Amino acid sequence: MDDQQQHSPDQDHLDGNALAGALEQFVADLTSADCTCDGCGSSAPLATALLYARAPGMVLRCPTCTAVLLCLTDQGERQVLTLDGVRHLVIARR
Amino acid sequence: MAIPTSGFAGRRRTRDVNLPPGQYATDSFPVMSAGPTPRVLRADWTFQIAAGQGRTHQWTWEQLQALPQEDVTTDIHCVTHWSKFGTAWRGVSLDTLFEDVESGSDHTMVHSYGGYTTNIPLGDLLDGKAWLVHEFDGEPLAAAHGGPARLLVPHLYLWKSAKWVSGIRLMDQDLPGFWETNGYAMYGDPWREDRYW
Repeated sequence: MDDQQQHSPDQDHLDGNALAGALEQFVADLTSADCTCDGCGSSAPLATALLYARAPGMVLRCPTCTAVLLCLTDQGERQVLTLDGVRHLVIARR
Repeated sequence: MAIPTSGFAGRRRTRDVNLPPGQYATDSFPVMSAGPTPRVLRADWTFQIAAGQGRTHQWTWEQLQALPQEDVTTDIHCVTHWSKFGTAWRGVSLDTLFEDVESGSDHTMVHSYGGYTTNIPLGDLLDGKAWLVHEFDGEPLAAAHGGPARLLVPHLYLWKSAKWVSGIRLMDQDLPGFWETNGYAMYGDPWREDRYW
């Protein structure tokens, strides 16, 4: 089997629209979500992380190891959210 | 009918000519930072250029001070829309630091103490366009503004002038640094308002 065949979609999936309801929990207030740092593995609510806002974008850092968890950049007409330093976000069901 | 004085209009025109699109001029020097300010002692400070295949050039603080020093007066432009005219710096031209560096690479990644990175084409660091500076306004560069030493690449937005710089790594391809990964442009020319992807 070549590489192309290994990565071809099959018929067993839905499209991303079907996630809309399940992701609703994450829309209301993400700052209450427990965030696990991909760098050091520690977990804490996003609200307790370290926010550096006097910068070209808002940079949120792990309260344990100060690694970057996420970055929110305002491009005027749109916002860019990168989550490179987040391993998990866990939020209680409302 | 009132006629505007030519002096007022003339000053405005002069100032606008120096101001890239979307920028405003300020006399203050805002401190921008994406993380904790690294506190690096001069005794511990080193600067490295990694040219690939294990070829590394390194300078200590004393060795940096022994190199030819240049005074640079230039305008600076931050991507958060402020510009500051006529800033005065002192440091070493990147031409001096790259004098003995041999590499076929066209791209660089600038690294800082604290983990910050930014990518700059090698050509934008040479030919009198960039400096490693350690004084501002005749004083040692404050840690809040990037001391002991920062990069100064004034023809690009200021996020390219990495504070607390620790080294430059040559690369065969253009890869994004910190802000370039997080929404900002790969090149960052203020005169073309090259702010975002």
